[in-house]
Amino acid sequence: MTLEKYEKELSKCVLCGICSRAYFDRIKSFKVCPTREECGFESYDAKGKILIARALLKGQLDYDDKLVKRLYEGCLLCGNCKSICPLGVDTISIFKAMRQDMVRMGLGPVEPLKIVDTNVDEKFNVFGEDPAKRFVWAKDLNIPKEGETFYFGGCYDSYRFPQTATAAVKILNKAGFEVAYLYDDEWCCGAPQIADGSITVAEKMLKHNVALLKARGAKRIITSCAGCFHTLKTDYKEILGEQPFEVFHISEIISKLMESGKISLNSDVTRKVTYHDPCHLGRYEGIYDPPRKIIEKISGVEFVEMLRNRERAWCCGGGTTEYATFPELAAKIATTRVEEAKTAGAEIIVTACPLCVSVLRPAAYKEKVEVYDLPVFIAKGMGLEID
Amino acid sequence: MEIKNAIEGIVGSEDISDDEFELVCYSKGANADVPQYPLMIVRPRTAEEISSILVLANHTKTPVACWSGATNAVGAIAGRTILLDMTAMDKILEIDDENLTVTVQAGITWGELLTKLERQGWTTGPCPQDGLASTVGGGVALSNNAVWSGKYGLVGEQIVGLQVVLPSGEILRTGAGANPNSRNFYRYGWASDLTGLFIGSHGILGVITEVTLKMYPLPETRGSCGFGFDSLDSAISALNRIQKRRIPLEYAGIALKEHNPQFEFPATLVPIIVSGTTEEVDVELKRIRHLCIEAGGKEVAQKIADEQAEGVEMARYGTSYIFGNEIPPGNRKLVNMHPCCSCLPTLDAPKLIKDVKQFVNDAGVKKSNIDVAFAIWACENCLICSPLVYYDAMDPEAEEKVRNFILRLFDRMSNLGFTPHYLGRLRSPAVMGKLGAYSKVLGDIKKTLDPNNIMNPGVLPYYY
Repeated sequence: MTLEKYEKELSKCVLCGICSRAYFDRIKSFKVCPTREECGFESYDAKGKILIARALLKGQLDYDDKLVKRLYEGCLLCGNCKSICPLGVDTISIFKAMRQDMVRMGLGPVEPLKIVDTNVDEKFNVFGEDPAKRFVWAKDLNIPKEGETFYFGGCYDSYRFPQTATAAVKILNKAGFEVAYLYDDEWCCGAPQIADGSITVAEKMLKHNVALLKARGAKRIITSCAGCFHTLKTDYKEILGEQPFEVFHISEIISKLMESGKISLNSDVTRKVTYHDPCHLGRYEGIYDPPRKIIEKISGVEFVEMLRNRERAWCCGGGTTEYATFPELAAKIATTRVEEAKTAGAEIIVTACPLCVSVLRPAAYKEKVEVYDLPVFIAKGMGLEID
Repeated sequence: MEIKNAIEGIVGSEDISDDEFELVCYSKGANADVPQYPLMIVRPRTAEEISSILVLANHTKTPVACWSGATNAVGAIAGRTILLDMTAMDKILEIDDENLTVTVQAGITWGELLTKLERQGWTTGPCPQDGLASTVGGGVALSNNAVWSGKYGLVGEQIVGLQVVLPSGEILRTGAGANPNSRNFYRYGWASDLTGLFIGSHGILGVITEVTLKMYPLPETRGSCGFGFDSLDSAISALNRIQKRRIPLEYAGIALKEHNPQFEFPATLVPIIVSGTTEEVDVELKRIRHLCIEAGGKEVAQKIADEQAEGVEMARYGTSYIFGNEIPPGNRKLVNMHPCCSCLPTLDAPKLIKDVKQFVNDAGVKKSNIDVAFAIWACENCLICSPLVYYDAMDPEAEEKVRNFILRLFDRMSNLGFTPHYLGRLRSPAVMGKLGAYSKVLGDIKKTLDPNNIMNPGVLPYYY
C-alpha cells in the first residue's frame, strides 16, 4: 500500500479539529474545508479522512464502493487543511496515496474520472478531443517548434479557452518575449491522473512531455494554467527527478514585464476587480503577489480583496478532479466563492487558472459578475486581438 | 435497522449515516480515550428533531450522545450511541445589544461566534481552552475554563440561559426565558438555577440546543507587561495582590523557568495583559507594576512582555492546545497533550504544584515517554493550574500508558484539593467516588431526568 509510506505522517495528527471546522487569524475566523461545509459529515474533512486512513492501515476498515466514492467526492485537494495544520501534517500526500491504492486495487478512480484517464491515455487530453486539434488556437501565430522558452498550453486552454492561450502568447510576443510551442506533441501535463491516483497514465504523460521538451531545447517553460504550472514545476521533479528547465506561471512573467515597462495597457477598466487565488498557484506554489500587482497596476481598476484570500482562499470548487466528477457539489462551492466576491463589492473576478474560470463563470453569470483569466484580462487591456 | 429508518423519517436520508467509515470518523477525539464507535451519526437541524429522536431513543432504550468535533481532552462521548453531530446547528439566533446578550445554536464554534461579534464591536469574553474550533454547546456541557477568564470569569459564568432537550423529549428553557413571555436576559429567576445544572453536565442530562451568553463591548485596546520573579512563591503573591484589588486581568500567567530556559531570571515570568480604554489600560498597568514590584518582581523589557502576550493570543486561537510553549525542554518530540486543567486557591499553588511534581517524579513516567509541564494562569479569585501530560504520538502504546497515568494523577490531585472543571471518561473514575452527597444528588437528578439512562451513559459515573 502506498499509504504505508505515510504511517508516521498519520501519527502526527492529534485530531485537534482545526482543519475540520475553523481556522483563526486574529479577528477573522474561517471555515476550512469546502466539502465538509457543503456536505456535513466528518468523512468529508481532513480529520475524518485521517482516521479512515489509520483504520485502513490497521486493517480495521476495507475500501468499498461507498468509501471509494467518498474519498474522491470528499476532497478537492485544495490544500487548505494542509496549510493551516499547526503540526504540518501532509494531508494532501496522504489523500493522494489512498487514491493510488484504490486505483492499484481496481477500485478507483470513480467512473467519470476513468473516462478522463482513458481520454488522456489515448488522446492525450482530458476531453478526449482529437489530438490534432490541440494547436488550432496557435495556427496563425507562427510560434516556433524549438527554442529555449516554451509556452505550455495545457488541455483547458488548448481546447476550451483558446483565447487565454492566444492572449498569453501575444502578450509575451508584444513584450519582445519569444516562445516556442510543442503543438500536437504537447500532451496533458498529467495533473488529473496524479490527483486521481492513476499514476501509470500520469507517468506516461510526464515522460513524453519531458522527452519532447528536452529534445527541443527547453530551458524555461511558461504556462497560464495553475494546475499545469504546479505539476510541471513540482510533481515532475518529485516523480522523475530534477529537470533541466525552469517553470514559470504567466503571472510571474507579466508582472516582471510590467515592472520593467515592457507592457503597458492602453485602455482603462473602471470597475471593481477582485482576484481569486487558484489553489495550485497559491497554496501549492506560494504565488500570491504577482497577479495582484498586475491587476493593481491597471489604471482605473479598483482592486478589492475577498475576505478569504491568499493562503486562506476558498477553492473555486473545481479541485483537480471534482468538477468532472461531482459537478453539483463543485457548483455549490463555486457559488459560495462568487457570493464572497459580491460581498467584497467586486464586479469582475480575475483568476489565473482555466479550471477556476470554468467553474466560477457559470456561478458568476447568475450574479452578473464577470470572470476572466488573467492573460485575457490583460490582453483586452492592451488592446490585443485575441478572438 | 428499524430505529435508523425511524430517525431517517425525522431528519431525512441526507443527515443520517451508519456507514462503517463514517463511524470510524466519529470514533476518536483529541484525547487518549479508546475509540468509541457510535451506532449511527445524525445531523439534526432543530430542537424539535432532537426531541423526536430522544422520544424514540427512550422508547427503544438506545443510548444517545452529542458530538461537536470532539476537541475535548477527556473522552466525553460514550460509544454505541445514536450520535448527534450538532455542527449543523450553528446559527447566531439573536444579538441583543440592548440587553447585552447573544443567543446561539449550540453547534456554533467559538471562533465563528467571536469573529461575528467582534465585527460588530462585541465579545463574549472568555474563550475555552479547547480552542476556537470547539463549540459553544460543548464548552457549556464541559464547563470549559478559559483564557481571558481573569477579567470575565469562566465560561459557565457567562451563561444567561439555555434551551435543553430533556431525555423525555421535553424542551426546557432555563433562566428568564423559562417564561414564554420573557426575553432570555437574566439567569437567576423563578426558583432554582436550572442553567447551572447543565453547565458541566457532560451531556448526561439532556441535549443543549441553544445558549444565551453575556456580551461585552470589545475593548478599545490592550496593554501588556511582564515581571520576573526569583521564586514561584513571590510570583503567586504578586498575582494574589492583584486579585485582592479586583484589577480586571485579561490574562496573568506564570511561565516557569524550567520550561523556558531562555528566561534571564531564576524562577518565573509573569506575563500580564489588560484591556479597556487607553486610560483604563494605563491606570491598570500602573497599579499592576506597583503591586508586582512590591512583591519582588522585576519588570522585563516590553519586547519580552509583547512576545508573551502574543503567545497567549495564540493560545486563545487554539494552537497552544497542541504544542504550547510549556513542552518540557528536551522533549519536543512529545506533541500529544492531555491538559489536566483544575482550579486551586491562589496561595496554595506553590505547595500543590510541588506535590504534583513530586508525584510525577515518583511515578517514573519519563521512561515511558510521558512528561508533564505546567500551565498556570489567574482566574478572578483563584488560579487555573494545568499539569499538561505530554506523550509521544508515534508510540502505539502511549495512549494506554497515558490513560493509566491520568487516573493515578487525578486521584492524587483530588486528594491535594485540585478542582477540575470537568472529568470525562478518562478522569471521572478517580474522582466521583470521593464526592459523597454531591455524587448521590447528581445520580438522583440523573435518575429523575433520564430513568432509562440513555444520555451519554458511562461518561460520568453517578451513584443511585
